Amino acid sequence: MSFSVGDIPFFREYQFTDTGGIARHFGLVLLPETATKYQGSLLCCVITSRKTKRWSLILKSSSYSCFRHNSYACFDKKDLVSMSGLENSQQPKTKLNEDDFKRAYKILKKSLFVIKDLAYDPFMRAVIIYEWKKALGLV
Amino acid sequence: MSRLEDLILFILDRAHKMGIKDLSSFQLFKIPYIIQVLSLKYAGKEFLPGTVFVRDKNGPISTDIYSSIDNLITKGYIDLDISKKQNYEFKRHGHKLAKKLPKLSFNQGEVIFLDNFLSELLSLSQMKLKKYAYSTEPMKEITKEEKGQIKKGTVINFSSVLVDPDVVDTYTDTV
Repeated sequence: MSFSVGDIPFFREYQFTDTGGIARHFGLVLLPETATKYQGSLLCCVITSRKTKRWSLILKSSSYSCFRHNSYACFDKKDLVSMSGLENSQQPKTKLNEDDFKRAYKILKKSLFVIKDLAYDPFMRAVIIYEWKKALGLV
Repeated sequence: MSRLEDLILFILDRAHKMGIKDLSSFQLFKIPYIIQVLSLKYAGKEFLPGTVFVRDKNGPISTDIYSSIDNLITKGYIDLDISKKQNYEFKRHGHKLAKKLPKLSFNQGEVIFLDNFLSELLSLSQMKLKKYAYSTEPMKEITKEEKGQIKKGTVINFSSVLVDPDVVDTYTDTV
């Protein structure tokens, strides 16, 4: 199993970088595993059932069978999540469809310049933008 | 330890982790050069401020890298193995990490940046690495001006590397 941008794995233990809190969550992979594998983690943004004001992308349950309800990828909640917290089952559970991938990139890109989190670093931002553009066929 | 020395050790460490026996001088010139271009393009800043690259027969080289490698050999961080193939005119200089990686100066973002691009660059053959280096804007500019006659020693000018439009912050003032 090797994760790519846009993959949606499920974590039985998703640890939030800012609070250290742990919960069961889906995550949206923001960088390919090759970028973070030596740290044993994946750069994700959390997927929750609650919408955040301006930084979330709706993932409709009608498009993603793994969600019972409409869910939201929250681009203001980015975390380096330990891969040891992944649920032991086939992963990823799903991946963004093409339309959502394009929508996600727009929100993600903006968040990288506005939200001062771990991805605000110019080199981290560089890799994220490069990899998403590559996946979109723009590089 | 200088930032360039840190980068060389980091590259050798990742090569070791990928199961690559050693890296040639060719690889240790081209990979930092490409990192510098990618950094300018996507981070909007140099990864190796002050490092000078010049045009050589097979693309970019750097006396700064030569000196750094020499320093690292002297300090015992790099093992150098010089070998020669029968049918090839030049000796191969194989570099590998001689001891555990010391604490390097890179922050988390820089480590992730390097790991991402090194996973791609370290798996390229020398031929593909050369092709990659020649496909960058500064090398394209040099080869265009040369008109077929290689001008060894020309200092490589990175000003032709344009920052990717998606990396330009057009948001901060509008939020």
